[in-house]
Amino acid sequence: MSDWLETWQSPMVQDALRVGIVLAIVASYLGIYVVLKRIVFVGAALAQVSAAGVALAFLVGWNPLLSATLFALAGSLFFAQSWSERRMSREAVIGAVFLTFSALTVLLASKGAHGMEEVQHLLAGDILAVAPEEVWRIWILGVLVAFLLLRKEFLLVAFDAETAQALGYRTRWWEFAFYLMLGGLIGAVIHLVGLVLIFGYLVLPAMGALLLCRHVASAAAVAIVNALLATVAGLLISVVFDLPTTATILALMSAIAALEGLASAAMSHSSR
Amino acid sequence: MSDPLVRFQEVQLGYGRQVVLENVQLDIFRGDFFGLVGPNGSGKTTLLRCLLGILKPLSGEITRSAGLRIGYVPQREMLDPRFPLTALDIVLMGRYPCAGVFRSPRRADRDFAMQCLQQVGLADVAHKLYRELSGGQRQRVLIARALAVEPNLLVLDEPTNGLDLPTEAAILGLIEQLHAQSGLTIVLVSHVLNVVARYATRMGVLLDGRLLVGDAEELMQEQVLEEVYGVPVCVQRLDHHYIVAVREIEEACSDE
Repeated sequence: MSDWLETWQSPMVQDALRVGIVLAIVASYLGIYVVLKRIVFVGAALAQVSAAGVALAFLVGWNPLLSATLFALAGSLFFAQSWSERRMSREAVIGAVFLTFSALTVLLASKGAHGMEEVQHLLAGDILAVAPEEVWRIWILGVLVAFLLLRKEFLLVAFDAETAQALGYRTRWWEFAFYLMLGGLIGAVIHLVGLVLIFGYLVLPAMGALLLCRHVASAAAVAIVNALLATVAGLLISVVFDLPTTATILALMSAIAALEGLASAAMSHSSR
Repeated sequence: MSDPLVRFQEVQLGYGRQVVLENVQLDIFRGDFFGLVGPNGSGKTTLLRCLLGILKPLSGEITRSAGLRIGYVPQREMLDPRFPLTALDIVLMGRYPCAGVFRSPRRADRDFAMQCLQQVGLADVAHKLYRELSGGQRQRVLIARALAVEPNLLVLDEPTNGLDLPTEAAILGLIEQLHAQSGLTIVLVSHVLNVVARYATRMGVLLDGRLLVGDAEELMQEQVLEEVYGVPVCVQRLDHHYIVAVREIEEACSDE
């Protein structure tokens, strides 16, 4: 008992908890828009683009945070473009970007000092491995993104871009702003927590919340609670039972989303 | 005659190097009920986007009167009903420009949005989710949102698409009422000829990259419509209604 309590109170776990809490709040809130805008796989593709940035940084000795963020921002600018889907679907382009940058990440990492171990870290990540000096960055990002996201205009542009344009909103700029925030978030945390965890935070808490809630604001609140619950409980369970932290948090987020899906189905069944 | 709300002068419309419409001359006057028709792909959407200010003309001049406020009603099918938004949430979007960036809509905006819902007969479903409403109710919500802008020009894109006959009549009745009682200027875009001809005081028909403007009597002529749609048609009048049928069908009917 005292062993795990000691581990829980260790600076390593407390740093991971701080990062996890901020990430849970920011990413799950952003995830509501990612799911509603049907751009879930843009999140995965951006994370992969960003991972390639980290692999390149390790290979040539750049700052991985800077490189990941620049790659993610470039990817965001690319995905924020509107293009005709007459000849090729957007989905196919997203898939192509994901595959291209997956290959690039492996190729770059294979020539790096740590080889495939580095690829494994970029994919699965380990929130417990966050260095103390990296914790403060994520707080700044969290405040910035959360502040910028409290905007009704994102909702209008996501729901009905044409009417937003008719009302005088420069929807292209709002789209850019949204993708830049998404890319900025992914770029900032990819080398800390890995691709799978950030992707999970963007999708799973929002999914469960949107199934359960009847308003965007309440869905955002529930998504944040889902993510926080999974983060804190996941860290605790992984410490007590000596389990991989990322997988434990993801499994909990999936379980919460599944429970909310069941609750939503039960509610709609009883209201018939 | 007063100055037009919107004036198109020798306007050329298109995308990049692709010209869709040429030499568009069009005046929308205060109090007009202007109907725009044309076959699929004839440039209705392009002209509409330009009227809304979303698309810039390739050449020519578009003049908008000072204080012009456009309430836009998009096609229902363009909106994703999975968004967890109530009827009131959606109507409130029409008040966003008044609230300003960084600010939430105020109490007065909410009250005004409720009034708009009342105007279209939907006050009782204000807190119902958009996805739980019928097609006709959704159309009314979108009209209420356009009214929340406090427009002097209401632009509707295919408002009767996918509606059954009574609902279509009710929506058109509401639009006519807004025109007659509230004095709103209306631009109605539709591919349903008889709907536009029944209600519009002036019509625009798109033909081979050009816009022909006139009243219903001038444009609802067999030779004009045959040229527009490229098929032989028969036009008949029944009270205030025009009935347009492709000739083979009409002949089959008259044979019976």
